[in-house]
Amino acid sequence: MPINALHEEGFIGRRDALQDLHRWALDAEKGSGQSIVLAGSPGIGKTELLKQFFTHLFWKQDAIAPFYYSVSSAILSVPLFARDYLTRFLCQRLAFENKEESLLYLEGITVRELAAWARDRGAAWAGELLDRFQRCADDPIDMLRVALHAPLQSALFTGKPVAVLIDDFHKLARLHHQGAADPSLIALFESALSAKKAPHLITGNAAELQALSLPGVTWVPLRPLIFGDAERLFSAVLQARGTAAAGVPPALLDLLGGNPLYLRCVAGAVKTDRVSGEEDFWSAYVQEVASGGIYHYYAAALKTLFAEGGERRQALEALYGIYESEGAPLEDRKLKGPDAGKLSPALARALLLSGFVRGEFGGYRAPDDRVMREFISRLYEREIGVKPSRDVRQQAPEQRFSPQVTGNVFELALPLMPQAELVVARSLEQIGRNLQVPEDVIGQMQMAVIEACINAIEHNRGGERRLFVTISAEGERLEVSVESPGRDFLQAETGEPFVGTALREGGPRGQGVKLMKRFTDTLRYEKTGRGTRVVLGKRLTRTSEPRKENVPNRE
Amino acid sequence: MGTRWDLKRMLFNLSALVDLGQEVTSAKGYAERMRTAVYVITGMFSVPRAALFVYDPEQRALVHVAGKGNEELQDVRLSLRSSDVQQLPRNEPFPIRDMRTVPFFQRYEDILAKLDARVMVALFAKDEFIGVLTLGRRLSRKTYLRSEWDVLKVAAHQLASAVHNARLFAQHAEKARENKRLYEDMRRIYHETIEAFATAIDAKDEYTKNHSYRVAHYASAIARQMGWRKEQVEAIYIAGLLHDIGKIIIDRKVINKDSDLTSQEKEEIKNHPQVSYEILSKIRFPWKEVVHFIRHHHERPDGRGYPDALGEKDLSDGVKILALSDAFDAMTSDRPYRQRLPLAEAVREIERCAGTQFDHHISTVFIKMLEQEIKGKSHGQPILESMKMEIKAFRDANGPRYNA
Amino acid sequence: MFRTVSNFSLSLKTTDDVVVMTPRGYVDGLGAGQMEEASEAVLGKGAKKLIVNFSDTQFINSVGVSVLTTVVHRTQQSSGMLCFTNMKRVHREVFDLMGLTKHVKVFNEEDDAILYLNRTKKN
Repeated sequence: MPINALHEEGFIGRRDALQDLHRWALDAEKGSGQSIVLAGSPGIGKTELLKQFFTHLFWKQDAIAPFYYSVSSAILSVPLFARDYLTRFLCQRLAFENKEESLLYLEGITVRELAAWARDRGAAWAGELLDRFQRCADDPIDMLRVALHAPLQSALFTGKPVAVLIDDFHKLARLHHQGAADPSLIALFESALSAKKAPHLITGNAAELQALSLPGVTWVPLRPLIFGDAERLFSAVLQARGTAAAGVPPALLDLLGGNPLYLRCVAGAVKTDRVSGEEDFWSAYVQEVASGGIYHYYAAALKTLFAEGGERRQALEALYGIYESEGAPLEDRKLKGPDAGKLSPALARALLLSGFVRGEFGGYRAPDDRVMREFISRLYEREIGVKPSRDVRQQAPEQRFSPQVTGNVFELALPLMPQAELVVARSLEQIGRNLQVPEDVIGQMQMAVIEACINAIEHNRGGERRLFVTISAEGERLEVSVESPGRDFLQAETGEPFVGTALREGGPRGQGVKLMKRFTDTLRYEKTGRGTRVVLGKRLTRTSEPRKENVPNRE
Repeated sequence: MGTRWDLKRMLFNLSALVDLGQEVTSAKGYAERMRTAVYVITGMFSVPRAALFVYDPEQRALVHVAGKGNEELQDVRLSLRSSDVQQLPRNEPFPIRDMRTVPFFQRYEDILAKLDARVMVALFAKDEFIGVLTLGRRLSRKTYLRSEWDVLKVAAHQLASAVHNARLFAQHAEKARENKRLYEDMRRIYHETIEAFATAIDAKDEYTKNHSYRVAHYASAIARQMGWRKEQVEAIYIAGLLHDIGKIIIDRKVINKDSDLTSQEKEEIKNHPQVSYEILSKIRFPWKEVVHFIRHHHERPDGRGYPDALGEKDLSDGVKILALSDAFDAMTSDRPYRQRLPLAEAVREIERCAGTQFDHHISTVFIKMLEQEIKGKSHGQPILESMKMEIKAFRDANGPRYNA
Repeated sequence: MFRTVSNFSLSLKTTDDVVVMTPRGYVDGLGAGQMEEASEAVLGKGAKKLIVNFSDTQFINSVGVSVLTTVVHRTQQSSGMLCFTNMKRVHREVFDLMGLTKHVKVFNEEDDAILYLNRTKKN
């Protein structure tokens, strides 16, 4: 499980935090351990810190046995969870004795197998625990109890304390039992959390953890990296990628706020083929927040909270309202943001738990995280479509990277609704005539464009709702671009659309790409600040012919 | 993370409020306290620029008292009408923008802009307008949350009370100082007036120039020697200065007459204590005994004095001291009708009259004082300044008795 | 302008064009105002690279925060760069709480900050 921790050298900063954790472990060794919650904003590196700490404890000392467990959404039924928890603990605990790495990776071992195996190694106590566990098979709550107290039991039997590191602890609120989620099951953790010889270090979504109100645990904040460490991390990632890039703008580092997730994503997106200028760094940032790693991170979070339709829209509007009012002149006497009363309690709660806003004594506050806010703003702009009055600084990257358009260029922005592609086709016809493009060229381009639009509509399931089309005729070329803010279905290396399930299965969409290629001279895909763009080009001379026979009109 | 963070910040602000409370009531100077208060408050909200103005009701203006980041505007004064004051919310922060239509804010738009005043709190203590605090833009550019607004209100209350108290205290201190000054002035006026009188008295009589001074001098020396309190000594000094005020009335000719006085003239002179009394009784002295001394300074313990022929038991010490002093000076000064007695004679005369004309005890004290001075051993003010020559002669004449 | 409080002192040093201020003791009284004056003086003379080294600083309260707010503000106004180094955990907490950290660049060690300042052109 913990194998995918970063290499020690790749883990930068957190000197203070690691010191704290070591001190915590020492306390545990002395038998006076205390359970703590490691809290911090999303992407701040809680999981990575836990993994690093585990790695250190496992390999570099013998006094205290570490146990790392990351709660999975797939394993939340009580019996399953209990069994998973117990078996993993025992594997790691037994592995610790002789530093056996292979044991750490043991998956799918049954309880009986493990019991036998433990006894072979002289760990009778483990065997006992497993036997007891099996005897509880018809009482899931008992199973849970046995599992949760296993670390303490081992400490008592072997005399060696255990450091229990649990990631994504908040998910345990959804532990379910006989079909129904039962948040009170968490209470069973309470006595485990108070075990001095087996203290717990838990982490997860801070807002949700707060809602769990765990008694007797200390909250330890994990702060963003300090500027110096942030810069080192960024440079380290660039170096690891072998780029010649240097000189990340301080303003960008400030914006990324010392958040390791952001730093790694953006550093990972900087173009590596040449020495980068300032623009390249900003471009990487915009890309990541609009459609890259950062985007996906938050889009996933949003999706689990707000499924579709009305609730999602309401949430976005509420968030947007709160964010915008933060930028309002501070002299305003009234409390900003939507009143708690206007949002439904469920929605308000969900918003708070999402971490996209903070609750403040009866009101709401935007988080300090500007990147998070940028994500929401862009989402809002796309889905609800109102131009925000944003900070000029934040507009700058966008403006920098909008395509320079000169000459005869027509731009369309369309809502993604059924048969929008027909609107495009009609417009293309009209515009083509205005630009004096030959009829057959228009006709072929129409085919390709329709296909491109349909692709765009198909591929974006993220809820965005607009298409941006530009049509230009310059010199010898007609060029149409179709841009949709959407899921990254672009595979960077090939420049081809992602050969996803539809294509692999030989489905209809797979034909679409061939079609587009047939009717155009040039076809390319680009990542833009807003999403993905497909650019279709045709020469305007009369000699242009479709390469194959016509495909029946989709209409 | 959210709520915990804000709890922590609230805690920080609360401890800052405690700091504020301690600061404004500390023993430091007013200006320093106010400045520190501004720093504490701006520290709560990360505000780089702020200004504290205190209202001067006499000038009807706000005077800059302390601030941060606004040094060049230190001597600013903003005049404020009471109608303006009424429009201000009390101890409640408000954005200055909202007050655009209020005359005061229009008038001083420029200055307020220079101060970067964005938020203002009008400070009131018990309905009395104390001043205003202006805060500039926060470093974070963030809006104030309700909880922060509340903290600011509390801080404003504390600040208003502190300034108010400091003012009251200062006013009282000022009053006390003023009273003291008045008192000293009065005293001075008294003395000057009295001395003017004394001069007038003495001017009437050529031979008694500075007589009043000397009598006052002797009398107060005796009183001091007898352990009298400072105010009492002062009283008898005054009495000494004024004891012959009655003489102002008496005709100059009579006083300076060369030959023997007629009985009528004697009568007239005898009247002077009475006249003194009548004049002086119209004046209010801080020492009530003064008038009494003056009236009776010609009395004698044996009852043959004037004007009231009081006996020993009716005479106060002050009267007796004054009587002795007066007589002593008469003896040792030239008169139109006789020359002065030599010091030895005067002393003998006093000894002789102790118990009859003069009080026995007081005479003894006086003589002892004289002896000390003659021997050169006196430790107070010298009594016999004017008679140094005489002293020498006295010593020589009287041999060992008066020598060391 | 400020009375010196006995438990605070400020030392100032300049290496090349980097100015390092090291407050010593308790930053809780008007003595800390020396930092304001010092920063104003160096910024007035054209300094653009400032470091505040907290290794010797103990307690910081709201007055201290206020003073540092001014230093941050003035540096921003002069388009300078400000770094905080060697902060203790408690300093970091207070500054994060009061929103100061966002406006400065935090480094573990003074040398790291100096290296950074020397190789960065102001954006």
